[in-house]
Amino acid sequence: MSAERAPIVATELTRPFWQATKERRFLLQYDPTVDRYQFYPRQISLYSTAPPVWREAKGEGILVAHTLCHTPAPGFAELVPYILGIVRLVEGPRVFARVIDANYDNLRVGQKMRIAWGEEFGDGREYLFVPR
Amino acid sequence: MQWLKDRSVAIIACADLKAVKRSGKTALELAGEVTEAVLCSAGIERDRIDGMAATPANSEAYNPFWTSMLADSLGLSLAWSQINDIGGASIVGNILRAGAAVHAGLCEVVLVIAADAPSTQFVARQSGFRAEFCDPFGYSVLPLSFALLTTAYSARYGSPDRALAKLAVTQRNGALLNDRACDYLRVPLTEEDYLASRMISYPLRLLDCVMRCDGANAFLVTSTRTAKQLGCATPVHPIAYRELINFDARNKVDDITVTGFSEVGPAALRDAGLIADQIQSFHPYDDFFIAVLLQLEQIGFSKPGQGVDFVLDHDVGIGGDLPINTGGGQISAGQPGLANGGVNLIEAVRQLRGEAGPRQLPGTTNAMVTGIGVIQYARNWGCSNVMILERGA
Repeated sequence: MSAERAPIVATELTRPFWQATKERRFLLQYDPTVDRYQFYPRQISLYSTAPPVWREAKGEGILVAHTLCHTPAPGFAELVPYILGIVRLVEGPRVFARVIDANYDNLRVGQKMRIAWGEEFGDGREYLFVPR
Repeated sequence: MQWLKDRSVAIIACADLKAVKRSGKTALELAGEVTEAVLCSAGIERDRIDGMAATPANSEAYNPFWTSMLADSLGLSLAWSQINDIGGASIVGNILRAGAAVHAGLCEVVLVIAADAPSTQFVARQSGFRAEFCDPFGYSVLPLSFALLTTAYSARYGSPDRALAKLAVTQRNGALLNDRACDYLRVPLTEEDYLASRMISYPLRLLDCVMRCDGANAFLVTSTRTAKQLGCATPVHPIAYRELINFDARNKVDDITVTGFSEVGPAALRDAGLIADQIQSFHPYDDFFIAVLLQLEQIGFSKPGQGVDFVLDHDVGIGGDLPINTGGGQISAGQPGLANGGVNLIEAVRQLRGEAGPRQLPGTTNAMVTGIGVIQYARNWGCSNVMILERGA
């Protein structure tokens, strides 16, 4: 099995997002005309014709779903089994990432989570979730 | 779509190849074999085919001219051709598109074909959010997306394990009677075997998941008038069809277990003038058993959250009150890459044509088949489609 993680590769659109992760800040796209956020980043707003602007998220949310992965992605073999989760941020969008500092059996859908930060690799830094 | 209600198009023949692991063949070779088989089954000349609806192949995904390559390999000149890339919903969707093309007068006889050899060669690669926001973060295999759906479902309604175990055994019993199923999977299974199978991504087990193999399937679609001229004794009519591509595009639905089936399922039944109880066999797209459970609830066979009770309270095997995936489905027959949805479809067509051999349901006149395609970011599958088929006169 290839030991290399798939690298984070920024595009022109996503470079500000990944740059912010290096400073441990999580940015969402915000549409001021409808007061809604979106994630992952897109060229256009899902909600209007206004250009989306970057806004920093509070980094808090609730757990929507979780799984204990026994089948690692390249570069994750030494972490097996590792927890992956979907968290709904307080701003609205859902985010997929690894969950750390948690016992899988103690995790509950609906519990409060916050964003934590891992290592830099490629053009950005890994974001993670921890129970709060 | 009045032309569906009028029974104006028909599937007049079907064929598939036995599912095989690592066949060593290319998708083009498999396509050639299955085309010969479907022409032989219909008893018509190749020159009668003037339309083609195909799917991409994981084993050929770098070829941007796939359908032209396919047509040349099969020796076909066509008035109409298209490729459909809505994943596991593509083949059922192609029956509709083929019918629409015939109805519109674009062509007369359409070859709906899917062939893939992903266990021999896999070159497909997803870009966009998958490459940038999933793969670097530990996203490894598709089962983990369905594991996430399972925990979201369980948190709301409780563990579905007992129902999934029953589905696993029921579908395996179908595969034991289906010589087209992959031999590797044609061994008896108990609920204990299912529950004890190793975790891929908890709570999803190995036996919750499809196994990738090589294979192909093909269908011929034409007008009901042409079907009669060709002497087809057992036409099968699509009588209702609904499709929803990219459900919840603007992220308005909070519950990630709600899928497009909650819209297209009830709508297709309404179009056909049927209620779920009147469906005589159900052939849901089954890449994972949790998807079958969600479809039972959202199409309307049971109420939301009562899919487990529905499965436990009903006989879903051959001869039961709602037979499900009588040929084993993809999970017990094998998933031939992007020829996936054809596995469910061909079983429904065979049941209606009376060609299901030892699995044949007596006197069956209608069936429902579904498709699922694509996983979207941090929610659910993107594409859901439902087709209701009826045995013709």
